Amino acid sequence: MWIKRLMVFGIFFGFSLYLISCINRDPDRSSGETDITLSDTILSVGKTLYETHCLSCHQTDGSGVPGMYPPLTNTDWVSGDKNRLIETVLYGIKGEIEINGMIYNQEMPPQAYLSDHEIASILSYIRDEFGNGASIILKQEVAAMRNKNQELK
Amino acid sequence: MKKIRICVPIRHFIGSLVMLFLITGCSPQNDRKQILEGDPDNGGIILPDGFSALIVADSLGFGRHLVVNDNGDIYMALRQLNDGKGIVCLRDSNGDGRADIIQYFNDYPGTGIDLHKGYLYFASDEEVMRYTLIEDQLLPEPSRELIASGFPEQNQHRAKIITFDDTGYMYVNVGAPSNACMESTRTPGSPGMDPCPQLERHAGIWQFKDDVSNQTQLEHGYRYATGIRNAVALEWNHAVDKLFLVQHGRDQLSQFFPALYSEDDGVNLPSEEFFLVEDGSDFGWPYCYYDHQKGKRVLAPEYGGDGEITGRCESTTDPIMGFPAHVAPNDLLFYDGNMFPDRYKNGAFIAFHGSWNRAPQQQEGYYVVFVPFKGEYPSGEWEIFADGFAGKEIIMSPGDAVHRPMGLAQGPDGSLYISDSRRGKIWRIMYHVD
Repeated sequence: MWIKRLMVFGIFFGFSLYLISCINRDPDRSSGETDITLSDTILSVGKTLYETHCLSCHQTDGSGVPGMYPPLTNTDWVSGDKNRLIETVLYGIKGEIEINGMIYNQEMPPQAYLSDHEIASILSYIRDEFGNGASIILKQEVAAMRNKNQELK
Repeated sequence: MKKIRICVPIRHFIGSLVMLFLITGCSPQNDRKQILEGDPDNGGIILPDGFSALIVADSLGFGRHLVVNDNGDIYMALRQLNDGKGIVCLRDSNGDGRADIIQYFNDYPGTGIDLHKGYLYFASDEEVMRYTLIEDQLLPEPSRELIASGFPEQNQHRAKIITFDDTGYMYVNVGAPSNACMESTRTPGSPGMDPCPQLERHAGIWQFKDDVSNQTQLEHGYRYATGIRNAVALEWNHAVDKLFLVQHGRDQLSQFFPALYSEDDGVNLPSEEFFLVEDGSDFGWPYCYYDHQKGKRVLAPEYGGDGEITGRCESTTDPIMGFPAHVAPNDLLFYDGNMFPDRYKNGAFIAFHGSWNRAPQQQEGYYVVFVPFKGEYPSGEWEIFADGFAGKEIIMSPGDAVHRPMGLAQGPDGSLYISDSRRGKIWRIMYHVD
């Protein structure tokens, strides 16, 4: 019995380490090639999707358009609370926000037509890029926000 | 005591000399013409030969349109409050061309600003108001008079722009609250609403009385022209007594309809259109856009277009000129001064704020162009008049631009003033006869 418990714990612990290693990705690290491949795949998929769905407003370098579309750099809207970020993409955003002293008041349309995996990849990319260096987002985390809001309806 | 007698003709001659001295000696305009020179680097911008520029003021806030009074005082609208105020007022009290008195005024941010019949008119994103100017004072009376309001709330293209004709009317741009009246806003593949309900209250020019308080769009506004996506560059041309505007064309053809449009198409289409506006004009938004490469207006993909079909667009009015896509025309000025060479007289200056939606390719615009005119129509090709605002040759994102040309105004001596939306700089451009 204890052997079975130890095995379950071991598998769980191993998987957790694996996830943590993905989240704290360090490209200069020489070991852990499998981990780099996984997160690199997410980030590379995220980059392609970003270019298709986000780049025209938020720009190649994430700097946005002054006074129109907010930057994705140097702001906790991107590097902070994951759930707020996921909801922004799923449901869009309306109304005035201020980022780094500039007021933005355009409407961001909902992007709920994108899959959980696609949104997770895009958000992982923008959290990793543009000098943000924040952790990636998993598709389960996107699904959780989507389900939570569907249950509320 | 000996009386000095001066004969009548000589007295008249002396009198005339005194008058001449008073007129020439006291006219600041004449002094400026002779004394004022541009900054050694022309304030960082590039101009045609014979022109120079100086920086009137800097770091004023996020500049929008501006206007210059007969006495040289400048009023610039701000898109965001600076120290709680939305208009910056500037005066050059010692005649060196640089503003030395700078005061902030009015509790609303906005874009449209003009001087008319002794009032300073100002348009926030929701209302048009005016303030009474006080002789010799920079700041107007603090109490505001509401002229026009009741415009629908909107996020996109919400800046209100104003201009005046000579028969007692004011014209207000009410921009479209969307890109192309899609059922789902800016969503790939979404069809357009047909008919587009947004045309009832938006996407056109509304006419109001210029001196009646408390008018509303629904009760008093008259829809003068329609099918105009957004006109930040809007100006009554007093020489020909007609309204003109330059439209911000639609965005994101390739992003939302990748099967019909390549990335290059999305970057290069559609044209930014220059309109001669008549009472009742319809320029086709959202159903149509102008393809300057094909020289015709075509049906938009939201309404079944494929980049070729013209369909219902055949009945819409063509532009008088097309400019490159997405360069963002943000102000229009017909030059009627006497300082610049004759070819500029009654021609159009247009400030192109610069594109954002040519990404991932290089951005375009960030310059002021000149279009020569004869009567109501351009008499030649457009040309870049002032360039170098961005501070670098290649702009990939608008954030790369150090400055972006935004508003245009003409001074009493014929100088051209240009405002900057990024850091609130104002340039004054002059022409020098050697």
